[in-house]
Amino acid sequence: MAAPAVRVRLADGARSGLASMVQQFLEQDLTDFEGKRRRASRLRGKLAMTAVDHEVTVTLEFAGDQISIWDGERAPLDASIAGPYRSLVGLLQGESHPLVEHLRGRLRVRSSLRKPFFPLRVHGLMKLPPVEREARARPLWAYAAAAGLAAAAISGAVAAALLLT
Amino acid sequence: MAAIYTTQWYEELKELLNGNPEVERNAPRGKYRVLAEILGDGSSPYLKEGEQRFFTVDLTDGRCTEYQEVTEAPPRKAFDFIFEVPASIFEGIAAGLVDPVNAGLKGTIKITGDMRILIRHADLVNVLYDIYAREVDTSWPSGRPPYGQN
Repeated sequence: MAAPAVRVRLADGARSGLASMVQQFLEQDLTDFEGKRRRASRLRGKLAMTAVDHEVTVTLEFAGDQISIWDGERAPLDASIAGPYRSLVGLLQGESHPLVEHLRGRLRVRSSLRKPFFPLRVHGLMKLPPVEREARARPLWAYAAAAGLAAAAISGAVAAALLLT
Repeated sequence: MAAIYTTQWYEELKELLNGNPEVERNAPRGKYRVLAEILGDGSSPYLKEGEQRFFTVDLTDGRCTEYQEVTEAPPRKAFDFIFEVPASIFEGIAAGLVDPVNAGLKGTIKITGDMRILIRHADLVNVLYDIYAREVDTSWPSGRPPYGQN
């Protein structure tokens, strides 16, 4: 069965560049990839994303067949990710992981008790696939280290969600 | 030293872009056409309010093959990326006074195009900003930004 269409819209006349970029980014990616449309249509909730060094925040509301993007924080939130612009870009580039970045202190990731894994699911939807040539060049030990880090991150996820909410 | 918005200024910029290995390293592969629309915003002494200037930039594998000003607004569909920039912001970037990332995130610069390419090559913005702000030797015959303080 084909994945349902998911509309991505700017809500309440959102005018920030970050809102416009996220809107275009999601619209382009969901148009091109059916798997991402399917994944997006299963998401429900609100996540705020803040570039702290530029004092810009947007809220993404996932509602099945529609994603709305607002300027600023739109409570009640299910999750938030805040940090320097470069760290947020790293997440979208698929070069970093929200929990690893949180544990390193580069990003502040929060989630509600009701949806502790919501930031990870949104990240899974939004991140770009790794660049092929870089993936090929990565040695085996890097994969082993990444696997270890991922295991630690997953076990830390619940604790982080509990502690941070 | 070339004056802003002159042919000599564009040529110097093109040479600097092509001579900088960081541009080639951070730029996307393939051919891209970029349109910059500079809009007179009432602050710039170089563009009256409501006036527009259009620049087209052709990039091939990280090299600038064409950088020119055109008199008429070209069809937007012919471009992969479009940047709409108020004149005082463009000149502020050229003078090293305005952070283009901040202007982009705040919406002062409007960007249209494939955001995935832009995000993948986000570091290119900083490289270009360094070239504009530090390497291009610009003269300002009608006054240097920030305006109102000359």
